[in-house]
Amino acid sequence: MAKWLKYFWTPPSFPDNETKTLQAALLHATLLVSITMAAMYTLSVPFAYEKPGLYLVIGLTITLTDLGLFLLLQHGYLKQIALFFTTLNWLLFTTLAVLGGGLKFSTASAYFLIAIIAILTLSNKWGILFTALSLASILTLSILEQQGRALTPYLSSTPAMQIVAIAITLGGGAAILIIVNNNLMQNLREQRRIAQLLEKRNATLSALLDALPDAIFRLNAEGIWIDHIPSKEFKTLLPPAEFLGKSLEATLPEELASQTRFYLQQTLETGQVHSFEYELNGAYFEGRFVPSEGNHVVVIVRDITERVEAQKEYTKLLDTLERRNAQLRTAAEVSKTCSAIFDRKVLIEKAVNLIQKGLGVYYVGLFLVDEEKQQAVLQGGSGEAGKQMLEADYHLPLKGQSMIAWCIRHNRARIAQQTTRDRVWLQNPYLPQTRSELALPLTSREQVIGALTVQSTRENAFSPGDITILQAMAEQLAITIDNANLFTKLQHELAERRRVEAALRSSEEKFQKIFRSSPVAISIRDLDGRYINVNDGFTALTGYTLEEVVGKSVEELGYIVNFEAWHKSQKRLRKEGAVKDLVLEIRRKDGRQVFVLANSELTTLDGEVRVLTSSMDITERKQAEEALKASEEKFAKAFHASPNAAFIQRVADHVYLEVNDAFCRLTGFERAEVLASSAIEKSIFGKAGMPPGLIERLQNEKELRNYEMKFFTKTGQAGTGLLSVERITVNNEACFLVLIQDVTQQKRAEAEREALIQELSLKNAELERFTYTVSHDLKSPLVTIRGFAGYLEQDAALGDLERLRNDIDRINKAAGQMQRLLDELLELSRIGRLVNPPEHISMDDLVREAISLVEGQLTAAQVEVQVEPALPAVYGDRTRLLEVFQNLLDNAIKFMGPQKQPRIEIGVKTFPNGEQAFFVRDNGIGIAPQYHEKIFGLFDKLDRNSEGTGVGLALVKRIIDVHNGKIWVQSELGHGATFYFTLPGPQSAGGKDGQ
Amino acid sequence: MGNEPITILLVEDNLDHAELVMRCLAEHVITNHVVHVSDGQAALDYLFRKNEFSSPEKAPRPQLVLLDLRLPKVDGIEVLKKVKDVEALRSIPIVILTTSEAEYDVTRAYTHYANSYIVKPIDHQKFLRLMNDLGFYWIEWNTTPEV
Repeated sequence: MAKWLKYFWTPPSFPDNETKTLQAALLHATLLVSITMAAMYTLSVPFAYEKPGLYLVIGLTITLTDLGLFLLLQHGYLKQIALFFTTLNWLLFTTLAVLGGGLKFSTASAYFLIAIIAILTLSNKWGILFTALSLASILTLSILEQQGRALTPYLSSTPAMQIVAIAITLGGGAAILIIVNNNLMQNLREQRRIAQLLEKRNATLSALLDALPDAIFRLNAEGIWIDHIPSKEFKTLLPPAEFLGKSLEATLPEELASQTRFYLQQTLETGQVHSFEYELNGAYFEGRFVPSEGNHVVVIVRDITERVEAQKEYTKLLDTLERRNAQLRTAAEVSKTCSAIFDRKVLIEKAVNLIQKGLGVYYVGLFLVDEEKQQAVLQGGSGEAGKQMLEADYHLPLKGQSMIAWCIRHNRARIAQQTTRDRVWLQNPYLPQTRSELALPLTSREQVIGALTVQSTRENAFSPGDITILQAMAEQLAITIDNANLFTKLQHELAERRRVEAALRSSEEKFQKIFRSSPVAISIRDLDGRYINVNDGFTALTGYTLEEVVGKSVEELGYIVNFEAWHKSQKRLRKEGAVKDLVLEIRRKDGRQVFVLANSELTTLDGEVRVLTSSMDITERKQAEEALKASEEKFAKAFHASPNAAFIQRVADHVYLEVNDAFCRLTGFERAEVLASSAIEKSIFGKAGMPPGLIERLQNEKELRNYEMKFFTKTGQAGTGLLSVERITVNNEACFLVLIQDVTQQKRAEAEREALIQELSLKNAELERFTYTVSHDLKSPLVTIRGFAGYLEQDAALGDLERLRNDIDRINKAAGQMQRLLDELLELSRIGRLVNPPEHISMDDLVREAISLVEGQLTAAQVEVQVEPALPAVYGDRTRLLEVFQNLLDNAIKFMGPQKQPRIEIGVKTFPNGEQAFFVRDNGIGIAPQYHEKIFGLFDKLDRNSEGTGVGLALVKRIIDVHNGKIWVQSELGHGATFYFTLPGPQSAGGKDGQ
Repeated sequence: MGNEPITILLVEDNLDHAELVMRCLAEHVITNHVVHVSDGQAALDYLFRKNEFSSPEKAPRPQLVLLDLRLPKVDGIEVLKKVKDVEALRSIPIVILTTSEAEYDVTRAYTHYANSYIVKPIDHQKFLRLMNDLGFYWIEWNTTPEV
């Protein structure tokens, strides 16, 4: 119901058109009034007229029409309705006026209303028209009236009606006016309000603008600066005077101008706000393009530098925060994951991979310091590079240059922001892309156990802030690793402990076994000496069973004969914990006395300290020892009494341990002397001592019989002995027992015999040769004699006297040769014995004599002889030595050959080795080297046909030999010969006697 | 055999002995040529065609060598050894002709491949007969390989 009423009461509004709204409101009001008037008229008609019918109809019609119009108006048909209404009203009133008999009718005032309504509800144009029309109507009616054409009043109006009509008209008019007035007033008020608002707005806007830090510009569509409201915050590029009225391109930098123009276009085209950010002279600005009226664009420029900076800051912080987040997350993850792992290897591998992934870095590696604290050894590395380095046993020396080594040495984290420029950073061929690195020390229990390396492919990837978080993680990791180590160690210890326990158990079992089954007597006593346990061996040894001894002390049993010794040993046992090799004499249960060797030890059995003793029956051994001693005594006696020299020598150092009297007699050394010195061997057996071959043989054969060896006595006399050597042991040392049989005399006799035999055989050989040669040399002339004698007859028969003479000559010569030969042979046989005793001879005299003897030949051959003055004297057989010179001179003369100036020199030469030799030198034909030996041989003549028997030089040699001298020749064919010979000086004792 | 010139090399240091041998040979053996050298070196020079005997004309290959043992310079046995050592000369018969009848010398000679060993007889007649037989045997009866 209320809605219907509201609908009725509210005029249509035309939001876009204020005029229309006003007109609508007026029309609405007017129509309402009209309806009301018409309704009132209609209602009042029955009362005013006796025959209201017609008037009712009229009234109703008007009411309904108005209502209809009203409804139509509500539907929005303003102009049409207004026109219709106004026209209708004019018609109505004109009709009424005509029918009512003219202007008298109150409706005349209605024309007034029409004009008003028309003006109010229609535009001015219609208003004027209807006013004109109304005026026209009135005039017409007036005229009509004036002219007397009275209009028949079809309609009558009662005075009441008249009043009503006037009232209605007045009322209506007034109502309309009131409404209009209201409207007007309202409008006015509205206007004022709006104006006030506007003003307030303006003020606010101004204040706002003032407060705005932005600069505001206005651009027109061509891009010219029209207007500018400066900013309090920043200055424009150019002062306003210089840019206002100018174009964008003329006032802005190129880039900025084109951007501005672009957005200007955009804004104008789209009618929407556009903005862009730009940088100018280091500050950041935002330009906002707002379309404005008249194809202008308002550009609001704000300094956003702070904002930009703040944003950057913000981004950075965000970044950092994210990083920190990642790091913390990683740290937490590492912590969580790794604290559950106890296998160190697995732990480290997992850790490095987690860290690498969590931080998103190129590589993470973990090093641990080795046992020697010299190297940092890679234990885990992320990725392929890590795997390769682990396989290659990658390690870094702690003293060397590398991030890891540095950080371990200094126990501090280190960042190399740009690895190529860092002082300490070491290039790793496995990780070529590293540009920055962070190294963190891993410490656990205040010791640096290793280091962590985190590497990035970007420079400056790490910040000190990173260190803090990562350090915490590293510490955690270090602790975890340490724990893993401890855990492993613990495991090992546990295993070890178990092993030890097992070993202990098994060893106790073994002990029990040994105790029971050992043939050696074992006893267990407590510290007071009471028997706790004995084994069967003990019973066997002592004759006492376990039952008989248990609980009793040693003293009680009283079976140790040398009790004092035992008692003393117990003291030692308590002090040192053990007693070794104690010899005890024991009386067995059956009375027999035995010797035992006891070893005691303090030991813990079943938690108690016990004395554990093991004893061995050494009775036999003792007996053996006695026997040995007796035998040794025998030996010693034999040793010393022996007629043969004997000594005992230690193998190791050749020291003589013992010598007997015979030895001392043999060698001339006193016993004390021999035993005192280790060099005695050298003195007795010569420089080499026992020859090494001997020692070897001894080692291989253990004994030696009748080994011949030379020895020397204290006085230096040589002797020969037959050594028999045996290896013996004295005091546990290997020694030689050496017996020497003195065979010096025999040896000497043997040697002499040998020499004699040698000489004899030599002589024999010589004799044979001699005989042979002689027979041959005698035979030869004989052949000649007989041969030519045979031809003599022939020669005579033929009458060849020449030949005859020749042949006889040959025969004679041959015979002469035979004779000479026989003579010299005789001579030779004599030479063996020295006819004259040796005497002091002056060589000068001798030589002079020899020369005089061959004077004849010298002169004949015209040989010059030169003798060196002051020849040294010699000692020998004068006659024989004379023969030497004779022969040599003879030879020299004979073999002068074609020498034009034959010359013989006699003198003495001293050789570099100190030897002195006499020489006879000639400048004859010389002797070829191959014959230098031969010439001294008997009958070895070089030139068979020369004179001489071939005996001469042999003779000379024989004589020199007899004098213990040497003779030799130095010669070359064609260059003469020099015969050297040595003779004993006057001081020497002389040569061999006899011979 | 026959009419070819026959050369005998006589190596003997005793000139008298050499004279005897050559006389005997001249009388009883049809030879043209006896070369006499008086020491071992000369003998080797001849057989090996060295020094003064370097041309084949001067030193025609002998059909027989009579070699004394005791020689100056190079001993008889040495000569024997050296000659028998050489294949080219091995085939030349070498007869040792010496005064020595020592067992030692005989053994040595044969050990070194002497073709024969003759002891010079003292008896003149024997000597003559020896030379005769010697020549006859070695020149007439004995055959040597072609060279």
